[in-house]
Amino acid sequence: MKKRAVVSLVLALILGLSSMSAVVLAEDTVKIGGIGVLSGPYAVYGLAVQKGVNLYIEELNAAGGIDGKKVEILWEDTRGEANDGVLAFSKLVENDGVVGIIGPVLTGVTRAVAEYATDENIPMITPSATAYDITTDRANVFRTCFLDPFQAVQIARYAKDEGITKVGVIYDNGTEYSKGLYEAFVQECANLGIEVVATESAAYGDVDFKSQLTNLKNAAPEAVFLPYYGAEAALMLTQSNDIGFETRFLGADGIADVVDAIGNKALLTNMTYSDHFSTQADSQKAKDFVAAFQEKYNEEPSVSFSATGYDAAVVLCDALSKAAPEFKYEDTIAAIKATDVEGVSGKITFDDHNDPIKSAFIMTFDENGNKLFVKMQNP
Amino acid sequence: MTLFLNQLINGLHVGSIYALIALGYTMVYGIVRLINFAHGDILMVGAYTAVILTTMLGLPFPVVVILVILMCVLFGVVIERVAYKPLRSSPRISSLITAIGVSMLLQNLALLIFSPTPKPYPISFNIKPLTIGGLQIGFTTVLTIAVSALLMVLLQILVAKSRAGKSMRAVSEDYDAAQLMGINVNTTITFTFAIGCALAGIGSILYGLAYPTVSPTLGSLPGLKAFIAAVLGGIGIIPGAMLGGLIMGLAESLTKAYISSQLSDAVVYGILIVVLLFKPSGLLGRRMREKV
Repeated sequence: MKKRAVVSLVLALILGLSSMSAVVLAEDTVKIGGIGVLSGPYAVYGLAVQKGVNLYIEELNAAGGIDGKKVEILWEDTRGEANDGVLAFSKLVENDGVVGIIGPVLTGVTRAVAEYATDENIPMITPSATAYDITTDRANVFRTCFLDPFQAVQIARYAKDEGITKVGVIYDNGTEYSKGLYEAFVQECANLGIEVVATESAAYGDVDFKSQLTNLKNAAPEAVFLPYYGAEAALMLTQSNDIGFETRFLGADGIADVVDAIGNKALLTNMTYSDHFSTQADSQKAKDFVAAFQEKYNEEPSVSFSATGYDAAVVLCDALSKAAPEFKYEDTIAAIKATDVEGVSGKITFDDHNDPIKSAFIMTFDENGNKLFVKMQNP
Repeated sequence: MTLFLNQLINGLHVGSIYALIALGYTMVYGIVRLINFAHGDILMVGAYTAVILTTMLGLPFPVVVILVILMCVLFGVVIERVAYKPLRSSPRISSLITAIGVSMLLQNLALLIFSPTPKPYPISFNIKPLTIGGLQIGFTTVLTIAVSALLMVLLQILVAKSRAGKSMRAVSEDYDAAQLMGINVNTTITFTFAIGCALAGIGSILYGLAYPTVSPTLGSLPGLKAFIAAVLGGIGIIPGAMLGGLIMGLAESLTKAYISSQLSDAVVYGILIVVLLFKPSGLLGRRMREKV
């Protein structure tokens, strides 16, 4: 009995002291939460976002921070899993007391976290989740990247401009991203009079696409729409080459890192895709961003989500400065809604659905895998 | 008709790779009654070795092939000596758990050393598809099927005709009797592991040529499928592994082409279940009767 009393007394003391210490630490920084996929097969996107956001925070702090206080960004890794995303969110909001969230990065994870964010009504800006329904009826969730349906429509229009009349599609009906793009693309093709001559699907996590590609080759399309991420696209391009399937490939923003995953870079000249940013963009803000990024990280911001991540930080910090000094969630949200800033990926304002109003960059590659800017497709 | 033949050839391509890996599983099981779950990860070891040798050291292709095989053999032999040998007299479940442990160790080591970002496989042949009898077949496909077939024939000859092969068959038939006959059991077992891993090494190159993305978990799915192929054909029986691999490859490709890509795995595993229901020892397996 006595031992139990001593143990519980000690426990109470520890708990009491720790909660006291949390109060004793003065709130002398503005804490923002960062949620992203920082490990696993899709880490390249989360890490790109992280780099862009951190760059802006560093620049902002060098210029004095928000309301005289330094901005501190706390990052949590979701490993690409929705569960981990929700846990990360809880930790950042309840333990760390953040005043706003940047992220998550993947569409599926963002959808899960957005539910909880809306319950708390905390401002959340995702730099890369492109599914339409993420911001529907959610006044507190915003994004600095254009939508899947928007991208797919622009790609279909680009195909029409190029005189393509027959397309094939292969998509992954196990991921939100791929399926959403596929549906929007096929619908726009119907509107524009482009015939979809073959549709194939590949299961999530598969590496062998030769059977599907052989079927597509048999239908002889002028272009194939590939709504995939870079890793799978690299496999498809290589296998198409292997079976002698020569055609043009069209993709969306997730495919941009195919250049890192593919061995035979010459195959990339057949690939055209839509993206959120191009390092060859000629606005002053874009050029400054590219230079600063190069200096800090010793590499180019080749994944466009670095730019949209940077812009998400721009938007959030701009709104927070208007909601200072209390940084109440509602004030920040109202400020984001009224945003009118020049980001590195273009001028950013938000529409009624909390989506940014900006353009798509149509890109391709040269035979060494360097990105080539083709044109801007404006809405 | 051409389309069907093309799909058939795709199936043979995939099946040949499964068969090569399945041979490793089946030989090891035959000789020490252990399912070496780490075998699929030897594939991954081979792939990363190729990445390092080609991109960092810039070695030419033939040298890389030999070094990849040697590296896989080295890994296999070391794992056998360090992890499996001490447990030979322990209950079988211990070896099984160790095998799973080794598999996880290899995967997580690769994760730590190489990071999870997939890397491109550095070797590729930019050769136009070959036209054989009216069919357009990719060079990699022809290479894979030809090399696998050749290796399987060579393995059969090795096992049937050579002294080492005789020792392997003796040890797998009766461990103690083989020892009494003067066969060095330890050497034979190590030799078996070495052959299995050498095949996996070649398999890793063929796999990398077909699916040129390298990641730490590269070996787990093909490893699992190859294991199932080995069981399908009769675990412990070498021609069984070859047959099982080819059946798996064909079933997978044809299902993806004509039914649905979602169902390809379901069909493959379904075939396994059906075969085992009617022939529990696998397609070519013999019923082991305990003679009292």
